[in-house]
Amino acid sequence: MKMKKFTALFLAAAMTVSVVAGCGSGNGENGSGSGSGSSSGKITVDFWTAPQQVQYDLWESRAKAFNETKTEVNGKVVEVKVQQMPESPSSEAGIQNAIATGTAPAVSENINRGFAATLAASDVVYDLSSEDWFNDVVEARQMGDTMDNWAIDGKQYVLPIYVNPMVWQWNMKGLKVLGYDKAPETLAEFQEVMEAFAANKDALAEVGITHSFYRPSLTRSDQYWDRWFDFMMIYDGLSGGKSIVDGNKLTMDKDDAIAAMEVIGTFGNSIQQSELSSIWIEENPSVLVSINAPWEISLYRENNSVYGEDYVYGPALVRNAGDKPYNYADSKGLTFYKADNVSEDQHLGAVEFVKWVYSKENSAQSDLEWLNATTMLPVRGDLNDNEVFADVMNEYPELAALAEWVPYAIPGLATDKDADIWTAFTESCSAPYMNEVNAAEPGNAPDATSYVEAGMEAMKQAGGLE
Amino acid sequence: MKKKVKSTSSRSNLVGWLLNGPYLIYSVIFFLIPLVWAAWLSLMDWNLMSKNKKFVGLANFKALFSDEKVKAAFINSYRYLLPIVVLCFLCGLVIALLVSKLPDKIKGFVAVLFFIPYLTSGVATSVVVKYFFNYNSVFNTFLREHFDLNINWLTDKRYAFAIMVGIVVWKMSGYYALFILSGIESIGTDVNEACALDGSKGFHKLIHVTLPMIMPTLTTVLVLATGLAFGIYTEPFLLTGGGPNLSTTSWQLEIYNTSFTRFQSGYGAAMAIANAVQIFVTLRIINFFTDKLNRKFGY
Repeated sequence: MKMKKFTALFLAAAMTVSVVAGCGSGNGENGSGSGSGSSSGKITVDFWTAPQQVQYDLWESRAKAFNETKTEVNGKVVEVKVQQMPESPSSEAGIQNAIATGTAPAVSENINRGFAATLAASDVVYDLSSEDWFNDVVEARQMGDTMDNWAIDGKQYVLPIYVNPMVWQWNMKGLKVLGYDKAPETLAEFQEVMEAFAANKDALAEVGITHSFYRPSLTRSDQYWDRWFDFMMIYDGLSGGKSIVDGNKLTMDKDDAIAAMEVIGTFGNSIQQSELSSIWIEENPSVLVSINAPWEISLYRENNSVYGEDYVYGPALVRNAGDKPYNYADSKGLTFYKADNVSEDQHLGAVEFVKWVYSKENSAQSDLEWLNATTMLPVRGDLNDNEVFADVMNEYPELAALAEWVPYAIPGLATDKDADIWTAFTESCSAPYMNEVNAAEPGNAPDATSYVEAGMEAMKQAGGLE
Repeated sequence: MKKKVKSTSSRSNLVGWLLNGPYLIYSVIFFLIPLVWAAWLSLMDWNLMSKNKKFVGLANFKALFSDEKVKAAFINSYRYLLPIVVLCFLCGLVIALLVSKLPDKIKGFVAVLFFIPYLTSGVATSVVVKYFFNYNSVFNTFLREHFDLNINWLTDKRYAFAIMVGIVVWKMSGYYALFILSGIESIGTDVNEACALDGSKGFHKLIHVTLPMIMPTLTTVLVLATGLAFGIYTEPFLLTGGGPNLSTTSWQLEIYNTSFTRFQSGYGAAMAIANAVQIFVTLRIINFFTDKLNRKFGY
């Protein structure tokens, strides 16, 4: 009997201890359980990369090389530890979770301007604009002009790493069938191409083209970020780079916004809105045009899709020939977290690492490694002039073409309400407009005025804008 | 003597507390604290990151009433509830009846086969379904080429909703069939013999004997399927994003988007509490009717 009681008590105590232990931090080595830690003589700095293996491998090799330099901060050696940021389920939510739970890294990549504005409004990232080392990096990479586009309330919170100018990706075989040997550049040329598309559907079908434009997310407000790539790209080109939000004001030009929506409307009922598993790696892509995806360039090459023969990039449409082809910059960079769990030493350690990667001596080589690994253009003002990049640019004419449009690439809105604004715009403008577009023939865009007006009103409400 | 009794009683109390301790601690940590925290969060305008937490009282709850997404999630809960509960119940019943007629040797094996969809990851299922309904999938190409049918399965609200329901029913029917099968198996041979003597068989036996005999099991299935209908997330998240025009959205999806995409965590917590209230009220109503039904059949 006694034995039974003893066993019961022992088991109960063991279960209780197990549950309590299971709820503990479980971090024995560093003790901090956070993205960074320090002990006597060593500062451990956590660096989070984008959740892609190629970026992890790149930063891991850089961290290894940096750690070998035994760089010291306040008499302690800095050791950078690299890990992929958790996508739980998005990388932004992963950062949010890390900050909320005191496990934020000292520094991470993969931050765009919109999310940076959210982080800045929450006062959890460092303002870099007055840091000497930051200005040295900007100078070394000749990023002066680009940085103006990255300012958030006049301050800089992000060191941009790469920029993909979002432009059109045209089916070269389709253009040739329609009698063109280059992509349209102006609104008038585009209209002409679409009229030719409507008149030559049978001829296009012979080269496998069944639809004009691939865009499955025009009605999906949960994929609000796709409005950056379609609507913003077109708007930036047609408006000459006019702002959409400035401070707490909605500054979007209504006429340009209507023209931008009507470019989408011009595709009419020939928009491919169903999901396609692949387009540009097929022998005969089934659409005339899509938005470009430079991160897929290696994939195209692996599948023998040749730039200039199978596809060609076309600039964001402009109103008149010779206008600057402003476009949307799909661009991300590094931010330094001012979270409670990141000590001053760890922040300084992270700064030392980034300074080393992008120093005057190392920055070109670092950017070249990035370009080779990702086929996404590093944010530099000398891509087509610096000899370091000459071989890559010669080998990749598609990258050289994109590099021409980098100076006109405008990153996302500098507001912490970016997601709300584009969600509202999709719900009130692009999604309902598509109902009319789906009933229109290609080349005959329905009037978008009332939809844009509704969209602008919704943007104001969602973003708390005047 | 009295002292000894008292000491034995307090010792057994201690053992009781110790044995219950793990579950109590588990409940406090994983249910009570998050519940209290969510209630507190629902009164704030906070994104979980900012050092400034703004107390807004009941403003988040007030805003729920004018939110189209909340309205859609509320209505869709019941739109999902009806077909999912009915179809899961019917499919589960049919599977259970068919399996119960099989020879004992293969009964267990076949029951496990029907259970496999339940074990399949919702993400994997959704990805397969997405590819199946792609414009350039074999299925759609076949429909276009042979029947001249060009259907946008996931962007047409009629089909998109039916696909969501279809996936859930496919996944869960085998699981519920196991419950019903165990209920059917527990009906004694004396009852079956009495039915045979009285000439009750087939559909008559099902309605008048089998179903009333397994009423408590059916009640469990009903409650579980109801909970399931309120918890839909993976399928619309991966396939439709809640569209077209919010027709396939759900509470879970909207709570996720609000809290982790638009970073309105306080408002998201208010949505979660409203969702919990709706589930609680709905389940109470369902319980009221099932209790009545159970009482009618003597349970």
